[in-house]
Amino acid sequence: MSGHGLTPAFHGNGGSLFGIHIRNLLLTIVTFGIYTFWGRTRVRQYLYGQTAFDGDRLAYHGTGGELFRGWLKAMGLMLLLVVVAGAAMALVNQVVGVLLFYALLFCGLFPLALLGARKYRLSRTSWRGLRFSFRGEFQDFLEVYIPGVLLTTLTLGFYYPFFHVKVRRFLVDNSYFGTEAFAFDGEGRDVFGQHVLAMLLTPLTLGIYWFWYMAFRNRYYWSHTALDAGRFASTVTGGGLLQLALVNMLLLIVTLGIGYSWVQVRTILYHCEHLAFEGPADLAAVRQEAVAAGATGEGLTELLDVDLVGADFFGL
Amino acid sequence: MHSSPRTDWEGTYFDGRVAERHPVTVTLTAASLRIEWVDGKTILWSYGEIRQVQGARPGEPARLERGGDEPEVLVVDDPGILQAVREVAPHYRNRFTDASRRRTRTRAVVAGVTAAVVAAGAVYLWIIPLLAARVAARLPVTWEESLGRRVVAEMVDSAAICPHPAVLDRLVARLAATANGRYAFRVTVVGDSIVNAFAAPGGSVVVYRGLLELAETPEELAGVLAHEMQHVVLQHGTRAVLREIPLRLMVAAVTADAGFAGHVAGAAATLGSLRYGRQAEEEADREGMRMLQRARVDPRGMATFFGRLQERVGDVPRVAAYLSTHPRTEARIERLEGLAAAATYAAEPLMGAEAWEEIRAACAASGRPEPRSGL
Repeated sequence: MSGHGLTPAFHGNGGSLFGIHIRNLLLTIVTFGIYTFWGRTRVRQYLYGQTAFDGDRLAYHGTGGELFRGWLKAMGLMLLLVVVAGAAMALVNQVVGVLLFYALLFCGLFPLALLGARKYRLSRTSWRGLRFSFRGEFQDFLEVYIPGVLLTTLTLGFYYPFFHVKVRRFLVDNSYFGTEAFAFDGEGRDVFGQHVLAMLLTPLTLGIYWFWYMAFRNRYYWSHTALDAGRFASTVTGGGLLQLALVNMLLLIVTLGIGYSWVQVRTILYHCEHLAFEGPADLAAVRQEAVAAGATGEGLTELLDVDLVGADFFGL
Repeated sequence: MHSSPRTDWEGTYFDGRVAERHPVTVTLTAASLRIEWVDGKTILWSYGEIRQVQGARPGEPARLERGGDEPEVLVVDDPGILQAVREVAPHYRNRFTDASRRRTRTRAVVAGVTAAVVAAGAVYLWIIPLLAARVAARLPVTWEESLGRRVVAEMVDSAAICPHPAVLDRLVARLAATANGRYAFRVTVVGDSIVNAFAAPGGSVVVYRGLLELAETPEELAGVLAHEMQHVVLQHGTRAVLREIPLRLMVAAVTADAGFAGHVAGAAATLGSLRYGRQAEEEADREGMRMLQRARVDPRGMATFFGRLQERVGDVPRVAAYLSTHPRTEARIERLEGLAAAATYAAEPLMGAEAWEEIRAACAASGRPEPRSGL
């Protein structure tokens, strides 16, 4: 691969995606909801399969059955949580039980969901026949996550950019393409200034400034993400994100929500156009090294409605 | 429309072990795909080992894989290769689908879903009511009677019940004699000035004093009683309960609600509303009229009474109680009048004037409060 920037290309369109969503909706109704797992898998197969990098498309290998089993296990974990908290409430006292519930939920199930979902999705994605993988261990993540949550709470949110960067570093450093690891070299202090500025300006500008902060963070994160000798670069702008959001909102309003598929496609196209991979990386030499992963994290993500911190530009 | 069938395709091959792409040429033999490198190296993939991963939707290239954990991948931009494979190797047709089949599959899904919705509608509109009617006909009478007794106990305050003269029982018996004999009709008079009457499953008929006093002739009362008794004979209440149970269970299945007993109780509670559908009301009108005719009772009283109720709903708010559960329309009153006019038999009088006054005074005799003025 030569040293010019490679941009992902998205070949999908709103019409096809709409067809998939409608079909999913009908089948979900008829099966009293069971079909959602297979429906979500279809959407991912389409979106990933229409995204190409250097001429070759991604492939998604997950199945609806895996998502369903993951959801069942996640339900089991939630039940366990409720039982444990309930036992604490009954045997010790009410306050302890409630505290235990929230502690286990936010410091246990949430990070588990984050990690598990990322691990599952990466393991089911391939490019040029090689699978991605995520090899971060849960215990190691907790060492980052729990102090981060505590410090953020104690500093009334000022620590948050540092926490966010630390999480991002953990997620990226432990992500692999075949045998090749991604690397993140960003620092919290680089983001802190912008974050404080955003906290001040966002309410003053009625929320408009937030788009500029999001664009900055997006550019910063991508430019500090590397694979082998190559590096990513993002050219999203605050104005671009704002315009994207406004037009999307307008589309949704005018079409009474039916235009959601087109909104999804527009957003993906925007992010693809503004992302590039530069540098003399020798990806042809990367070897296959797939890692097994179950879908319990995915199930938890659904149940807990967790927003995937550090999710790649699909945000699925 | 092609002049000569295509025999070779350009593709890209990945060996599943490193991320290197190899441009290849693909040709079809009778049993396998022949994949040839630029330098002449050739491998064969037999059709039975191939998995198609992409290519089933328009705009997708054909992506084929072979192998388990680290599969080899072959991507061909032109999905036409899939149809060609289906033609060359018909034994393996089912493994390869392209976008042209997609439209058929989509239509099949849409047709399937529509059929499911139509079937659900048919079950709801016809099959469940039919089953409810059949089951109701086979229910032991004692079950209906106990259901009816519970309804009456809910609706009627036992302290308000008035003793009534035997002549009222004889009136009910004269009407009941024309029915199929399955039910033993019992009448109860309640000392409440609202204008209402109803019959519960199993044969309990309840009449309120307000209605007794509003009726001017015994034929009018007989008309109301015949209508209510037909609701019992035709099992409208019982069928309504039996219809509701499967419907509520269907809803419970969809919403994953486990309270079975609650749903049965809820279904029975619909009886308390005493509301039957328009169809049931019209049927009770018609059959009630026939019941009067079989009993040789002058049928005009029924139409007259309902007509009077309709007129007086504004003056007498308590009349609304009856009308709310027995909606009347001009059309229905006219139909009743038409049926009455068509009767050609000689009616036999129900009772003498003193007996009628006895009935009307049923509750007054036991010291019940006088009706408020304005009735």
